Amino acid sequence: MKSVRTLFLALCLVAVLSSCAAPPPASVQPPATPATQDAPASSANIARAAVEPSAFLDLDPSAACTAELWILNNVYETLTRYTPTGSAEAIEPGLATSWSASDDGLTWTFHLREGVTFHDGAAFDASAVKQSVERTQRLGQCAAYLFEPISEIETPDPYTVVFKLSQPAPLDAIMASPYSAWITSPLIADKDAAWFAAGNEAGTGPYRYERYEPGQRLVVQRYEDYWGGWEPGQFDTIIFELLDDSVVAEQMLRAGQLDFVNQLIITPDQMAGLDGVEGLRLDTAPSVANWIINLNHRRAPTNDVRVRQALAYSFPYTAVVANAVLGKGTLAHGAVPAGVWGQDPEPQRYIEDLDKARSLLEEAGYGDGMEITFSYDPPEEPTAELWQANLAKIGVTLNLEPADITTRWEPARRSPELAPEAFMLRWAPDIVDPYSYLFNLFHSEEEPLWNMGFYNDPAFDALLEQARLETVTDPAAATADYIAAQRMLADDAAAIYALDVPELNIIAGDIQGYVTNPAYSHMPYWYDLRREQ
Amino acid sequence: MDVLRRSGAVGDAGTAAGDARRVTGAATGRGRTRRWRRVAGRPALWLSGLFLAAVVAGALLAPWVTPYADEGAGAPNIAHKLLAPSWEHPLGADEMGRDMLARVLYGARSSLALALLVVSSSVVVGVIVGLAAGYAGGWADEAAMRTTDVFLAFPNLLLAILLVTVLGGGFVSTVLALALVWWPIYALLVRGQVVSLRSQPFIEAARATGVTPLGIMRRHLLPNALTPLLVYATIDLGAVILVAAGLSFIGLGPQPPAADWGVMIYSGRQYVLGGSWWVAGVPGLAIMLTALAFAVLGDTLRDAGDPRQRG
Repeated sequence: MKSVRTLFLALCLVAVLSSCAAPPPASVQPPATPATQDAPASSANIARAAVEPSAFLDLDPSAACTAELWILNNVYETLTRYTPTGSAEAIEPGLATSWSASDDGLTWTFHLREGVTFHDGAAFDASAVKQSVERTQRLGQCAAYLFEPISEIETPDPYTVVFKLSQPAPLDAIMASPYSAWITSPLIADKDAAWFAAGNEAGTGPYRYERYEPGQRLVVQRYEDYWGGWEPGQFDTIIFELLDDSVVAEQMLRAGQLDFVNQLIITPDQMAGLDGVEGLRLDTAPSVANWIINLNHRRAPTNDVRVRQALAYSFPYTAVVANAVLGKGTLAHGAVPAGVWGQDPEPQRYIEDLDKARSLLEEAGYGDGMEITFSYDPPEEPTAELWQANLAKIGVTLNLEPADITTRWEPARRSPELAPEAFMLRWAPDIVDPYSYLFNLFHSEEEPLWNMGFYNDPAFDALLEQARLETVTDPAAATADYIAAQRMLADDAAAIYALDVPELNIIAGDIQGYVTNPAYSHMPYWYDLRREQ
Repeated sequence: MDVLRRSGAVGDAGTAAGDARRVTGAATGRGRTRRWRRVAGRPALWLSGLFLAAVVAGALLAPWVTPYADEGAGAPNIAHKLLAPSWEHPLGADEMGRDMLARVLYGARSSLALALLVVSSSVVVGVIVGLAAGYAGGWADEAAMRTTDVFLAFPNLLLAILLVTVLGGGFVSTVLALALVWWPIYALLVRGQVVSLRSQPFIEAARATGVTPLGIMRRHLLPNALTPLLVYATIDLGAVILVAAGLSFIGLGPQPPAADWGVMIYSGRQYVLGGSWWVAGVPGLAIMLTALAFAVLGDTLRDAGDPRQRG
């Protein structure tokens, strides 16, 4: 008996200690997969990227709304594409070679690229585009709202598509969105999420699925008939390792088993330690992503504007900017971050002011303290604890509920009564337009998609709608309206704008050609990348 | 006739009790002293004892022995983020800039309190069930033993995870869940002792002289089970700390900013590869050394209580 218990104890000790510095479990080490074996002897044309989380919500390109897009960006294509910051034109050709809009912004004509085929053999033409956009509209998921203005799609000839809009909209920008704008094969019009989850796809992009092992990895291989052609040195195979554990990702990076990992998989603090490691480099660039903490408007105590203002005054803005994302973030002005037109040029009115927060709480009848719940992604623990410490000073208990976005999002949006009082989103826009932030996060909805605070203000909705309609016809008026809308949100303390974040990636030192494109945040387009020989 | 039988029985009871003392050795003062002398010189015992005394004292006096009491309780000091061990912070600072020594001492408070609560409540429940089942025998014994079998059929960490998930995380539910997982082993232990003694002549004699069942349990059965109980309980203090740390490591323990060894290892592990080993290493060492010390102490107690053991 003694020896059994001693053994048990010893095993437990080993378990505890090994949790500190365990080698990656066998399942995540690069296996001797067929992909690795089949590839040419030189490993130069295989790249490995990390993708989180291991459980995809939806691989249907019309519905995919989170990390699936890091893969889909290489498998599907859009009619147009945003160019990286600083380019001469904001939008460049994709599957469409040219486009034009009528003066009233109601008719958009796209001329399509010829000689493009889908991976399933279907030909890419005007009717395929029509079917694809109509399918996205029919499904109505993720960013499908962007396509609502499209009332009619005409196909005067096989390579021309004419979109008739019910309201003016910047369709060239919408068609470049990495959310829901992917063109899919007409053969899959009736396929559902299960078909995609089984490892099927139907895109035109440079890579096609080779193998999908749910929870492990998704391997894509070059599509030989890709319309752009292939040059020597481009990657044949990209292995997307599905990782939830930042420590495993860091170990794989240190072992040279990953070429590209972003700040949503490993934390910026880990990146700081990896920057000097041989064979790796830290890549930082401005982005248009931000962290927004929506406050629940449907339940007490956050349905009281004074409580929300108190929470906004209690947030440790400068400490979070200094500590999160390696101090490379910036103070937010509001829901619209720097780098997006229509941002409120004034810094936001809420600064860390615990005295003000305390008196607002007293005014609201919570002078004796209260308890609220905060939902966020686990890597943002330090930010949560900094806020928690501030709130503790004014008698507010902040219950922390860290969980991956894929786990916490669905239940929270379905039930305002059970949803946490504070819900943090690390937001990356579907289109680089103030509308993406203001509409998705604050537009009143029966069942919200991303409006996690259940914000509901008809006057705000109307102002937003007005700004949207002016976008094409009167950009100056649209900008003014969007700024006014941001100030309405500030009056209401609708949310806490934690900070605007840059994009951070750890990239293998020999990978060349990566240029951060804020519109496709964290979605490297592997066709453009090479490995230095 | 009647009187004679009774006096004979009394005589039997006397010798039987003597037998029992020789068997268990728990009650004879001289044997105990000799065996204590045998183990008392072991350095491992002294090291363990001193270490545990230091941990207990540090935990009890945590707010006064560390200059960083507020950080121990959870207040961040982000300017000191991930400071390496130094004179100012002998064990370094964590990812929120808190002094690791203060954090570990505050973590010891909850770890030790939890272990004591779990083990003592398990012992109480286990003793009651074990005594009752062993003494009563029959269907009651059968029912109690099959119940413990059900609990013992699962690895205790697994069962604890299940129970904490059902009860919801936090200190109280962790104590409840672990106590629920832990009592069967004590019930089994006590019941085994009781069954082996139940038919001994001295028990029968006691019964015959009119001692109530409760009295028999208290005066004859329980003292004989005391030594193995003490041994188990001591070793289990360490085992409970380990399992509790495992529970909080996977997110079922107390929530920040409360200091907890398992949570500290979890949040510190992402800094280990980057070189800040102390954030996860210090609480890991604290768990290891505490569990080890309890195991050594328990083993020594066992040796001291076992007359067959020859030092």
